[in-house]
Amino acid sequence: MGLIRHFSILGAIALVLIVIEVPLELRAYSRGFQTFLFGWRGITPSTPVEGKEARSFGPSPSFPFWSEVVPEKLEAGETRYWITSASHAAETQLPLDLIFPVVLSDLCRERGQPCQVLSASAPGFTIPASAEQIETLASKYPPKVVIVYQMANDVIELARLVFSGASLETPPSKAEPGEKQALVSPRVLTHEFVDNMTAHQLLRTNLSNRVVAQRILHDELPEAARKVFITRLSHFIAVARKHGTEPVLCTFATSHRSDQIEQFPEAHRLKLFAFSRELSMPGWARTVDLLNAEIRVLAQTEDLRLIDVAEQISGRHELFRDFYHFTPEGHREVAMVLANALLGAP
Amino acid sequence: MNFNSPEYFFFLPITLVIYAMVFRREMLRDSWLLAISYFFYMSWNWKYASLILLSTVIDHYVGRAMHASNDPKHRKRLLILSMVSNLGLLAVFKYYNFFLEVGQVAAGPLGLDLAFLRHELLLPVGISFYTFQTMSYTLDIYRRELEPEPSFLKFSVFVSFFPQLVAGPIVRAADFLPQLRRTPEVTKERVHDGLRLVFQGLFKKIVVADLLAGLGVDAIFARPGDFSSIDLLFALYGYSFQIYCDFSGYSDIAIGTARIFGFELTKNFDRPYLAQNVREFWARWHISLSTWLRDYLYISLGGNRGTPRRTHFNLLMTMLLGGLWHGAAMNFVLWGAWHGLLLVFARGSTKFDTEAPAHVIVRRRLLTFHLVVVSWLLFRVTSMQNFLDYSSGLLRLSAGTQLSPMYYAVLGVGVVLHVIPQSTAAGWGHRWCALPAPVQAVVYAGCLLLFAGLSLGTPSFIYFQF
Repeated sequence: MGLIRHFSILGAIALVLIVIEVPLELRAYSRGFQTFLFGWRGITPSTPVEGKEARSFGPSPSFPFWSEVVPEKLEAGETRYWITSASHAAETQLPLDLIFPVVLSDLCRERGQPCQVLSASAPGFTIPASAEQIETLASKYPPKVVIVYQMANDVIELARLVFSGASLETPPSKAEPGEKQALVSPRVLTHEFVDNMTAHQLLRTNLSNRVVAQRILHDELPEAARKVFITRLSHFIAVARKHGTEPVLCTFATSHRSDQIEQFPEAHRLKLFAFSRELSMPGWARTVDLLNAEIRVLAQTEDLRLIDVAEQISGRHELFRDFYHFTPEGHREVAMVLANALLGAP
Repeated sequence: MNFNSPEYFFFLPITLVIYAMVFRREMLRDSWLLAISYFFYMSWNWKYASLILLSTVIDHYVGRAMHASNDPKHRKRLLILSMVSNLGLLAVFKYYNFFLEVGQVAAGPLGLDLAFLRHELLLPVGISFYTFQTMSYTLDIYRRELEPEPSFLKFSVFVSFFPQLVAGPIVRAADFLPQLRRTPEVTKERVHDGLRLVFQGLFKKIVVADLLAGLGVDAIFARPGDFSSIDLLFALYGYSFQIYCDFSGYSDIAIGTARIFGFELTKNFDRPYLAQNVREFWARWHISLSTWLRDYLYISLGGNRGTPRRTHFNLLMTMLLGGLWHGAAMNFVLWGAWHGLLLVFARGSTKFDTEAPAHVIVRRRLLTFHLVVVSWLLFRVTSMQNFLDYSSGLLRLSAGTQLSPMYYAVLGVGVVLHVIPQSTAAGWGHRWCALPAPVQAVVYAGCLLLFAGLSLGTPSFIYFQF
């Protein structure tokens, strides 16, 4: 047993790491982030309004949607909209009543058209993950309309696959983007542990992204990957139709259009590079343009309703807190665009 | 599990704590080393551990039976059994599809399609290393240069010892089995020195090799047509230091880990790009493989005992097979042929010549380095078209660069790491290990965080594919 003393330096290293990690975890927890040791304070469900009853929001084990809790059974005359998206509609940084699916349900009520809006979204979700979710939950909460607002995570995943030379046929997963190792070896508990350490998260968003900015980045997602994106979307449409719902496609909005991308702020660029490691900013802008064009064509081919969100709000920097996440004003604007398209102009 | 993956930093302390508990009981200690070695391997693919076990069982039996026999024919049959089983594993898992493709080229004009004979078996990680290790054991016994190991347990640990199992150094039985027979020397100083080597290896891998790959090398090799000659040249220099830091980094971690457990592994690198000729390069690069090829292949072919022409043939054949050892693809064969030719031309030159004037030494080093750099182009390309695109791009002599200053800075770090005199590095290492443990722990913790921050994922070591 005396031998263990010789290995004590390993314990000392672990101790130093714990001493660094714990205060960082506390700081992150207090700021509303998910932490390894203290978990997550939870979403901020709503902005308190004096004299108004507090509203109840998911996600919870019994209600997996990032939106206002609603009964499974619809009231007479009520319409159920299902919004499938990623962190754009599943914000952890804002009170949920400011997020566009919830704002949309409020607008429906304001316009006298009772509806339920389910936000079937989660941070990191890709289109295949959304298709899986609709397969699982659509029978319990059958929607009339499914609105697809997805692009960023699929682009990140496909860019990673195509530029690493991996097969694009790799079954897509629900894993967070930016984790290459998930594609080559099964994720294990230790990986999860290290990934969830606040120190690691901080380094990823403050150091790795700066390294990524120094890489030779690509100016376009290759055609093969774009085809896979459209195949994913087509598959989602088929799944939605199988469940008797009407799929509605949306184009994807960004803070800067291709012709404005040179003015994209450096801080936001670095933030994006914490997850996206293959495309340059012009590459992102061009890819979004190309995919939006293909979404428009797909909507025509499949005879689907299209809500051209990009046309209406792309390039309005004040509506975005980074390249593709909205500010509260942005959420309100998107909700308006959706409401006008779904319910007709007020 | 890789040395650079997070789970290794949980695996290592846990295994060491139990190792310390069983250390005084030889059988338990060996059993524990065996268990963790198989666990390490099986964390990649549990099914393929059976191949290591098969190789271990056959060579343990063959070694003992060969030693007990005085009948030369019987001994030869046993040797053939060992060679056929080990080379058979390599043939099936590593070379089958390659030879099928070669066969397809020959059969094509006859209208035969051999595609249906292809298999999709995964290449077992480390198969080239552990098969060479066990073959050297039986060859040494056959040559009566080694006594067989009576204990199956100790022999199994020798074959599967996890620090060197998947990418070497290729350990000789004569060096390692005696260490297993005595109590390993585990002292605080050796643990600290081993840990220093582990972090040195991680630095080479994560800060130099992976960054060079991520910042430029991979992108440039993927689409050479998009880049200027300057970028192509610096990507080639970058790859030369990437592969050195990747592989020597792995060896450092392997040697360091083994040292923490109380074992010594053979040195695998000695600043190879400072070689003054290609003979010297091979005395400094992947030393455990080059000495293996020399002792078991080159000498078996006759070495330099025949005519000059025969010696040249032996050199060429040894390096061709050495190239094929790296991978079942034509570019590795060409890489081996290139080195074989260089060795033929370098015959008669002196290794480690320190007498020549400084400017002559510098000139020789630069020439040798660039001859080796050319070989890395053959090594790195993914197809003949890729090679042609890259070469024509280099010869276009176009200017301009898309590489970032950070790329050049990392390349500079790689060069500096390489040229630091070994005596200086050893002195620094000695002084570092003499620092109080808490100081070392703080720096190591900072390094782990730095590695996590700089990492662009956890790419495998290049030599894992061999």
